[in-house]
Amino acid sequence: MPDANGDREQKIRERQQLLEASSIGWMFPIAMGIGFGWGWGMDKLFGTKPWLTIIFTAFGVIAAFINLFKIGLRDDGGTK
Amino acid sequence: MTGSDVVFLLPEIILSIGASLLLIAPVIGWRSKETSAKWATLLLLAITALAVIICSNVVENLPQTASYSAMFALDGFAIFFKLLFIAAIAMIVLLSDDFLRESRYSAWEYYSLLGFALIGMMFMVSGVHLASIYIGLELMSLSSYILAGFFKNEEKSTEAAMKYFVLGTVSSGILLYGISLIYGVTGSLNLLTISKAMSTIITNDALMFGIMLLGAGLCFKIAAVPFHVWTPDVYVGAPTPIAAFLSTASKGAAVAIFARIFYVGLHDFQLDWSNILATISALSMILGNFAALTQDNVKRMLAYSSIGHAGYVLLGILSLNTMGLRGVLIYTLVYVFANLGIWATVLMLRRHAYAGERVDDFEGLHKRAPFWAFAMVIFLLSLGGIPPTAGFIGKYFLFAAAVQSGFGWLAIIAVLMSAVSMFFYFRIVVAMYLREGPEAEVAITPALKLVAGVSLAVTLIFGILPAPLINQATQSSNWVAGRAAILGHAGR
Repeated sequence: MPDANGDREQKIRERQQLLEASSIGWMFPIAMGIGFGWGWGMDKLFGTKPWLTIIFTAFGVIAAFINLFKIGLRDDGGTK
Repeated sequence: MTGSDVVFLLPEIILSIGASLLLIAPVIGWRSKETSAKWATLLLLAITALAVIICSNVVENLPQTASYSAMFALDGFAIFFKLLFIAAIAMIVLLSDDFLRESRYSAWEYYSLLGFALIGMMFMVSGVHLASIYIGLELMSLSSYILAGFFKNEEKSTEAAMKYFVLGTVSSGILLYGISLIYGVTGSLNLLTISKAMSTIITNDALMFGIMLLGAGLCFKIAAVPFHVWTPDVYVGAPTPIAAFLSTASKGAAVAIFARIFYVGLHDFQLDWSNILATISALSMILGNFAALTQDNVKRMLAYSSIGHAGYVLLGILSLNTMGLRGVLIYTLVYVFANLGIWATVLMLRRHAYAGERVDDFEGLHKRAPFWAFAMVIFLLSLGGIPPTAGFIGKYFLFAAAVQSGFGWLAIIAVLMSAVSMFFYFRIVVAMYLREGPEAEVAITPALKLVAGVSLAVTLIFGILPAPLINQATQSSNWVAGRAAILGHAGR
């Protein structure tokens, strides 16, 4: 039954794509939160407030955007 | 809303009514009169420009306590950008004319969307309140998403619109979250009130986080590194006149609000965000210009070049002095006109919907259209910042502002990257003058001639006689500088 297998694979692929797309929503705050939390903790540890918070938050925001671009700009071979 | 408040918004009200009429024109039986759409839009833009000029004179005599001045300002800064955007949209209407006729899509809807985008841009540059700025930004963005995918049957256009929509909406959400955090800490969305509140706050994690998110959202809109990745794909996929719109007027509007927010609202925050912007500026200049070196597609090259230009214009914003602000105004104007001239030339080479995009398409252009090949050289020299073009004046102000503010290292990077940019700009010049190309016809229509001609005149006249432009930019930037003076931080 090759058609049934093909349909199932198609459904799985669609579900994976849906999950990846919906991950944009929670990956953003998680990436930024991790950056902010890590910097804040390091600042507390080394007494460098607020520099490490700034630097690591910036890393978190950049990581979140890079992840967004990876998902949002996938399959763009046709336009390159 | 009192009678005097209406004066502040009159140009936007006129444009809203006009754009709505353009939208319903096909419904009331004007569907077949496609050529009327262009003339109706140009007439609407002329009336709006006239309204901006008349209203700005009336507003000067009004008391500054008018309620709308808390959210919306019709000052020199706003008027400069409003007139620039009206001119840019008028030129994009002319660029779109043949493109739309060949595509057989509804010109009425297209021009009406351009009108709505213009309302958003005009609202943004007048906004002195983060809510009004955000509403304007969203109106412009939503219209832009639809315009990028306007050619529904073109796969590339739809793909570009989808990418732009997904990435753009997330960045708008981030920007809005930043605004909400700033509101939470300072208790206001008015830029002056925010600035006053900031001067008393030494460090605040939520505020710092909010400013960072606001900055990230704005950097996305101006396509600065590392928030630039969407630009090449969207420019390549979008219809060429819309790519011209995104790279000129839309980008100029984002630059204007970036300058106003950071110059007036966030100037006094104790943590020096200038260093973060300096890093973004340096990365944008380096990555944008080096990535453009390897591109064979002109639209992609212009996209990377525009990332580099975002880096240059950030010099004026982060330097926070009056020279920087003047530089932002001058550079935006010069960049808009030089870019529109280049897009007009790209459209002249069009042989089907997406052609005229490759560097190879420019081969032998000096034989096919000698005058427009020369014009293209002038536009490219202006983008490279070579005298006697207007691009030199813009870059001079930005680089001098950076040096004045102690960012000499950044000015050195900017000069070096300008030299790098000449390599890829000159690839087009070499193709036009030193290579033999096919004897293919170039589509030089009167509309394209007009756009390229006006762009050429502006680029050369302001390059040779820059005094009127500098005077106008000085007057226009005085309002923002004046507001900064009230807060006690002008002329750093």
